[in-house]
Amino acid sequence: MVMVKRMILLFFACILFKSNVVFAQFGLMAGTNYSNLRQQTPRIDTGPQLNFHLGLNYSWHPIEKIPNFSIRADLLLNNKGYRQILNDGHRQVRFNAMGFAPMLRYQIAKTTGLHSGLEFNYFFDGNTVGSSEVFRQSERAVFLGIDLLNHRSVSFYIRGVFGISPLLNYVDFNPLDASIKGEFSDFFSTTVLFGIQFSIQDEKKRN
Amino acid sequence: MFAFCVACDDFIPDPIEPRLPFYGGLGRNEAGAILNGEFFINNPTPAKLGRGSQPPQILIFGSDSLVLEFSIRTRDFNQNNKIKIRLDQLDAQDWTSMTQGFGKAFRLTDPKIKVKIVDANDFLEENVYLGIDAVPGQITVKLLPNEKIVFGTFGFRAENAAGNTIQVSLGRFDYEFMDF
Repeated sequence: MVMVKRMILLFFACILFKSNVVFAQFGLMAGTNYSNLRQQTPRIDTGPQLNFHLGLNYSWHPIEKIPNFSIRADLLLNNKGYRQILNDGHRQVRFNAMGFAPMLRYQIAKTTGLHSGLEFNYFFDGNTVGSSEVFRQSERAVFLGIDLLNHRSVSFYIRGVFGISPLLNYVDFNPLDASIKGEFSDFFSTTVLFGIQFSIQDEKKRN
Repeated sequence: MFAFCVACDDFIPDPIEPRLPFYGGLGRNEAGAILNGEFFINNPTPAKLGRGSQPPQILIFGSDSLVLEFSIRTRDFNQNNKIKIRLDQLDAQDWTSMTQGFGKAFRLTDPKIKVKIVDANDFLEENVYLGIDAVPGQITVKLLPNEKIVFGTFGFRAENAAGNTIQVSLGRFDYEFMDF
């Protein structure tokens, strides 16, 4: 969490001290996402869960000679999770996350851009809250995405987010004789976001 | 269909086996285990259930005995068993080990430990199962003396006088204790 705060402060400090802020824009984003788990050691059966996200972002073009290149950061309220499939039913696991996602973006065509960066999530709510003994309260992830029709004020995006820090913080033990095997860190989130973005300022017009 | 209840009570599920409470030392006064393939969880509100279940007793007598006695039941309340674990002749090294790392593991081959499963609804002799040491089985006890919490794991096989067995697996408990 401290690292996320530092990253956010650093980002906004950069904005404040930037001279060519005229090339920047704010945006609002919202959409749905499919999330699931990746496991290094498969222990449970899971299925995807449909969730939602919303957020705001700020982006700017730091190099005037490369107008297709931009830096952007998202502040996201993100609902992640997975569905655990049991032989007699299923269980939904939800993590409500506040995320900060700095990224680099490149416009590869007039209507299409690519973006990639890091996502730092802090889990503030969900049905795992109170179980910090078994689930971690934060997560780091990397992502890669594509923006469509982003030359307009209403655009679309698809983003794949892959957790790189484990969600589980668990003590594992032998089922039969109950001997404790030790710490078991696993469960990485995988999320695919589909959304719509409303750009409040269009930097292309300002160019 | 398995009804999973996380919003209506304080039950925090195990992330691998969510039909059991998670393993941890928070003094939540909870236990759970699988007995012959059936999921048993702690009797959370014995006063309201009116099924004759008794509150758990976690007692430390002097410096050489630890008694863990708690009831666990199936979700449909049809089966209600009492787990009785008694550790005697504990020495200073045992107590120290119980406060360190993941606690101390007592194998059922250890004469200090006695384990019993009793049908809490029917105290007939045939419903009393004693832990046997012929197969691997153990109790792990972790003690947090300042917080007065004892928690751990258990897994063993128990047998009644007629030779019927109960396999207990993935057992875990987390209780506050009283000492005398």
